[in-house]
Amino acid sequence: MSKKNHKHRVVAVCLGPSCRKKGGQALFDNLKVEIQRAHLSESVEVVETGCRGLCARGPVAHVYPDNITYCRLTPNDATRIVQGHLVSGHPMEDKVSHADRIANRSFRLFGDARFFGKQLRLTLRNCGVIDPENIDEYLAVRGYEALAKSLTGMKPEEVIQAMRDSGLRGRGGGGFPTGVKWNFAATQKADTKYIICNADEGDPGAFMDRSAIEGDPHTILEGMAIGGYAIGAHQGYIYIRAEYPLAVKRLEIALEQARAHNLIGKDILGSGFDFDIEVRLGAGAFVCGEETALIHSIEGERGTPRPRPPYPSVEGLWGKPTVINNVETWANVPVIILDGPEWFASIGTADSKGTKVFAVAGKVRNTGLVEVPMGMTLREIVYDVAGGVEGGRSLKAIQTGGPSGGCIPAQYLDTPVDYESLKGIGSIMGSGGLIVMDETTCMVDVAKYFLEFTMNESCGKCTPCREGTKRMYEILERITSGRGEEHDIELLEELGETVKFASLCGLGQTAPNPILSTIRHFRDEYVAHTRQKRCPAGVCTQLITYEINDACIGCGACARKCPVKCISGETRKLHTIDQSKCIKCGECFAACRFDAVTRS
Amino acid sequence: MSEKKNGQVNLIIDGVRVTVPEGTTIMHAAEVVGVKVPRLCYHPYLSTPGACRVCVVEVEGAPGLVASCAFPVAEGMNVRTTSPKLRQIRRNIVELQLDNHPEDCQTCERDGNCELQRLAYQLGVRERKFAGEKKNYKSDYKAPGVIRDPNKCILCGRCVRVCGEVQGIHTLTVAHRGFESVVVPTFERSLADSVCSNCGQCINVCPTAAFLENMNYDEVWQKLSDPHVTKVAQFAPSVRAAIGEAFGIPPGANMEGQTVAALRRLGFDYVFDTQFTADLTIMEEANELVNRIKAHGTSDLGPGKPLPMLTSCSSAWMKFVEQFYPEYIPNISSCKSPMSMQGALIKSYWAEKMGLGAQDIYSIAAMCCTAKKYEAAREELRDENGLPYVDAVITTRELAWMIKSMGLDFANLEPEEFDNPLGESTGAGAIFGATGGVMEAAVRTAHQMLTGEEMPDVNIEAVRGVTGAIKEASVEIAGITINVAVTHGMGNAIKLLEAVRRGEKNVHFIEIMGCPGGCIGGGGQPYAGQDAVPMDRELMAKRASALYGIDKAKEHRCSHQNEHIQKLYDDYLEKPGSHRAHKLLHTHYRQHFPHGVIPGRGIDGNQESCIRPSDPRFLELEAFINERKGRPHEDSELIPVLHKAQNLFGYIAEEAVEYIATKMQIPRSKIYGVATFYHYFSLSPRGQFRVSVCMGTACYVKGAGDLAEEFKRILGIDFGGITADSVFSLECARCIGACGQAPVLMVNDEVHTRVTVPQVQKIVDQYQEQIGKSGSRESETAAR
Amino acid sequence: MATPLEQLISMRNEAITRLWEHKYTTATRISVGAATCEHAAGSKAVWELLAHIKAGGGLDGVHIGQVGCVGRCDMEPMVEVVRAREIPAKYVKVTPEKMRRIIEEHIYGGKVIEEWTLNE
Repeated sequence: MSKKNHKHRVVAVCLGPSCRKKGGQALFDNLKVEIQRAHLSESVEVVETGCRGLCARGPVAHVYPDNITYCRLTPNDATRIVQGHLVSGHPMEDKVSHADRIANRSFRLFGDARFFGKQLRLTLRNCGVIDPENIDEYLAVRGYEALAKSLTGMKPEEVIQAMRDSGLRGRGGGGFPTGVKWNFAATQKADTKYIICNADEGDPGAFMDRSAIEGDPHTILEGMAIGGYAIGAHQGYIYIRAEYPLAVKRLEIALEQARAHNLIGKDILGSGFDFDIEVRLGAGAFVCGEETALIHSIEGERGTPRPRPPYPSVEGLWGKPTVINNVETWANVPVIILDGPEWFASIGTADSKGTKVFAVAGKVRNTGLVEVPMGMTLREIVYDVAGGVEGGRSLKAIQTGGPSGGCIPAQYLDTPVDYESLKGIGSIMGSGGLIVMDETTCMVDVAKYFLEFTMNESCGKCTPCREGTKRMYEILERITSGRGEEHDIELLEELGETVKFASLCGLGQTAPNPILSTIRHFRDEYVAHTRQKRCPAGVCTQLITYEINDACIGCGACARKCPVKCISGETRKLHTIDQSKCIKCGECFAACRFDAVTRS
Repeated sequence: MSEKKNGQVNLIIDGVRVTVPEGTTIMHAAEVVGVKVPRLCYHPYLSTPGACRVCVVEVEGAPGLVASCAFPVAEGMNVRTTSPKLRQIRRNIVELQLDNHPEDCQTCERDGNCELQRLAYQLGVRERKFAGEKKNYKSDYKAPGVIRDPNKCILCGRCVRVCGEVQGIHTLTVAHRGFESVVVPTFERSLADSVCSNCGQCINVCPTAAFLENMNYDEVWQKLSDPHVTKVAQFAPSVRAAIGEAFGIPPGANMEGQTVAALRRLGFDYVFDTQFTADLTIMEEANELVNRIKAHGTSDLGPGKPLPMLTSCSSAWMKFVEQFYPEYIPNISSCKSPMSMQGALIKSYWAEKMGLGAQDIYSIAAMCCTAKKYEAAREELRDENGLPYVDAVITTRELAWMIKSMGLDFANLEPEEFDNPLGESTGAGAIFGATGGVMEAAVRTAHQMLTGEEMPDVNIEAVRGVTGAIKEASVEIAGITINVAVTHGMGNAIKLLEAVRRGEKNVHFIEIMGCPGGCIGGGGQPYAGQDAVPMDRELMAKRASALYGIDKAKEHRCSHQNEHIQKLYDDYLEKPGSHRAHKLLHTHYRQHFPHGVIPGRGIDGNQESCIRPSDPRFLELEAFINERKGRPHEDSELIPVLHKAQNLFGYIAEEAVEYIATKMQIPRSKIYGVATFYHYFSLSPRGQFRVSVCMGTACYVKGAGDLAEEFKRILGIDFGGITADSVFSLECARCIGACGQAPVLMVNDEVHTRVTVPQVQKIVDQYQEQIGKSGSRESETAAR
Repeated sequence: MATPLEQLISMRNEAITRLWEHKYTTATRISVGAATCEHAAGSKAVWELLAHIKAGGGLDGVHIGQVGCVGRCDMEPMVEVVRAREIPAKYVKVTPEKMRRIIEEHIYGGKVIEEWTLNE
């Protein structure tokens, strides 16, 4: 290897009091000596830094631009850092700070301990850190090393075994073990096989995949190529929403660069393995997140699902064995190969390994995208990471899983986030939407909102989903407009069960979840809407009545604001609202300074 | 119980052990133990969508319910086909179907014969709990053969599948999605303006009355009581072979005599047999074939008379060939169909004999066919005054209904004979109704014409049977080997013609019948009974056996032996192919539009049909499509091509669909189905400024709904609408991924974040102002 | 024949060399958030401003680059300024006007504008 190829790095050694005490200074000195001995003085700089808050794991050192943090170093590690990492390019695996590496880097870069401190950014490890349009930056942070490692020393079976050992489960919602899925496809005898990345992220309010692709597109390509090698596929497709033009552009740039570097295409890195990827645009159909519907869409058909079995891993795209995983799942693959399945399996809970990305939105202080280890409680996510409820109001419920998920009431805040626990309380992990709701949210309205979504996104192929979502929506509309009967709640439950059990695909099977979970946990709100014709949260406008009480001084402020001029009264005398004309806009309520306008 | 063998699977269904071959579905395994799981969308000859969900069953260990029609059995599986929960769910599913279906059973044509009605009864739907909004579409009564009422459609999709998978025509698609799903021809045009052949197979497979023949019986009733006209009827071979089914008579019974009697009792003065003109057809067609073969390879075989010769009796096939294979028009025999020959003879030869004018005769045909209604209306088949030779065509079903309506005891009517001279027929005429029959009949007579001798054995078994898709045979006549091929169903016809086109088959004569099984399986035949399946091959075989039975029992089994035919030539027509024969018995064909598309031919598979409009945007579209030529799975490029088209035109323009269809050889209906499925595609022009309000959860929670309402109020349009001046259109966007700035909206490519209701007016004004300033930005918008 | 891993390592070293030459040798680096959400929040205008200044010969010795989103949606657009041997500063809700002042005071003046940084 030419000398030119190993220069230009900074090794930053922490010389804060704690690290210094544990041998940091000796490490610093040894590094300088070793670097000189390796004739790297011109290209590698050793610098000291102040305390980085990692005292418990000190001494620590960080190598730039690789962005690798070593911890628990001894002075003797200087030789290994220089010879192994800087000269040969093999980072010292046993000392890499895995969990903290990523958290710390975020911490350092973003200076936001509260938001990033509890996160563990594995799949998003490079998002916001590297330039996504420059493959060099990805290469510098060990990009494509997992692919190279697979192609160099691992048989396809070993790659699959690593996936199985890691315990990785599909992040698209279902939570099917990834290694098992790959194994199905790998053991099929077929001349052609395919890999698909499902980037048709459609949950309203979830944008994990977009962010991941826009921030670090190469990770997805690398993951897919590893998957292709494992199952014997030579062609991959990324099915992505047309509504994500920037993500599409970044993928195209990444593909072009990866091809130019022989990391995608024919005979990858001289290994004899061919793998190429094509980007296919979706066209606005949520149901295409369902794997058989997605396959139909790539095939140029209406994106309707079909009954399974056969599963795509047996008969998928054009009838060939196909592995479909979503963006986040693929982004985990290089991490698992590089840092080892055992390490990956050490994160999370017994049955849910690794991390999960959530798009936190709604009535929360810090909306955003977070990646946390499985098993973290909802409380930690909402209060510690996302800063709690906006405006200091009290939390009423958390909605996870988008239109397929359910509403989790505040009493379950200490539920750990993993596949089974969320299912147990009537919701699902889903692809990662997490909406925080406070006391101003009406749960019937929320159910109606999601039902409107699934109704509009139902493909219309199977009867229960096509007709059932429409009828459930109609019943909810009846309830929220004050025309509902108490019997409607039972109707919703009965219809919900039918749609849930009899629908063809996951969309229909989960469509009733928002209703069933809100009835389960907030039945009293449904009763209030139907029996008392009252919306406790004051959201359902048709159930609200504005009235003027005796506190009115007749200032006329409300009447002037009223857009339909339905408030009348003489000056300095009690005003009245003509209920037949009132459009419940609430302007009068806001305009009155004497609490004379009441809302009920 | 037998031991487990290779390829056999043991399972338990409702507590009963059963062993079935691997790959069997639960539905079929259940039939083995005597359980017929309720079903709706399933059809054994069509693909299995698993869509209606009526056939769901419980499988121990499976998380939800599974569709038994699609779910394969597995070793040790424990299935329950009934349980309180299953009963309730099935009942609810059928109720959901009924809730979106007209409540007009008593006045519906299929009352008593409707699968949905039967199912609702079987499952015990006794109340309607979920009733709400119902679909409301316009019906399509324009086509003479087949009419359509989407309000009765329950979206089982059998019609779409039979039209595409069996007939290869692809007239229909499911368009739009969800509750808005509807079965329609491309761009929701009338069937009359589509590639529909009027074959009527959609009617046969439809469980309800969403498809029906365009009924003519009202007019017929009227005319029957008109004392000033002579009422004449003819009926097709297949009518007698199937009409009994409508009266509960087991399939396969020949009801010829009863049908003649019934027609007389209905008021027809004369009843003639279409089989007579079937014999006549053979005389003309065999003569034509002999001439073509004799001329083949010699100079007098002009381009007008090529081989293989194609039969012309099936009217659905005629329309199909004119739209899908216009290049084969010269190959089609110029003979009219037996119905039209009979129609022409009745109003000429017979009228002269009787001293009647054409206007004095009311001539109807009872046919197994819906396309015959179309045929009767064809301009080419009218007399010199432009009047139709056949005044009305009714289907077997209509005739059966008329008989019932009159109260005739059909089964016990004393059989009667046809009137003559147009009523006598040979066995050759009878077998016309079954696939292969025309071929067999023609060869019998061609043999005689070429050799002057009768065939020693007139049975040509190789071309018989309803199961074989393409039947081929070689016949040695007078030292010439004549290769013949027979097929039925337009899908098979495509396969055969494509093989001929590619030069893979060397055939002289091809018989093609538009319907599976031939005329006996026509779109006008009685509906399948309670426990039968539409298009059932065993049923077809039974109907065919009735016709072969007639053939076998006849003294004369070759058309040229028909004494009345001989007399007709002697008295009137002179000889086959004579001038008068040509005038009365022959016709011509012309290309019809829209041009049919043959899927599988690939990009540029039919260049002559692909005309690129002069608009330069089509040049770009063409280049984009050409880039994709030769890639594996060319059809899968449809969605990228639609994206391109929308980029070029601003929406998916109708001309663009037309162009893509012919250029890529993808059925229009499929393109329309795909384009309407995906909300990203717009089928109508969009505004210069496309406002899309994000209705993702984050935005909704933060008031996007109010923004949408404000836009609707200010612009006066709903989602999907466009302002009258085409400046603004309003759309509902799914998450655009900027949840942190919720609520957000986009105007073209510009994102507006954290929008409040009062800002909406400002945003509208801001864009309105741009128009004032820069005049027209239309070109810019269009170019994007 | 080098193994795929050996080839990758040499490829990586080349990448690092290039990065060093084009990016890390510059004393100051500005990274602008560039993702759909960032763009929606207005990061494009910030980027265009920097590119404009750079094209006009300004910001000498300063590397400008873009990164994906870090997940702090409500704080976007975000701009990170890294100066050699200093703690990087992450500015939030940056507008072109704010960016001008950041260039003035931080890039040239060496003084972090604390109230605009992410400091929760």
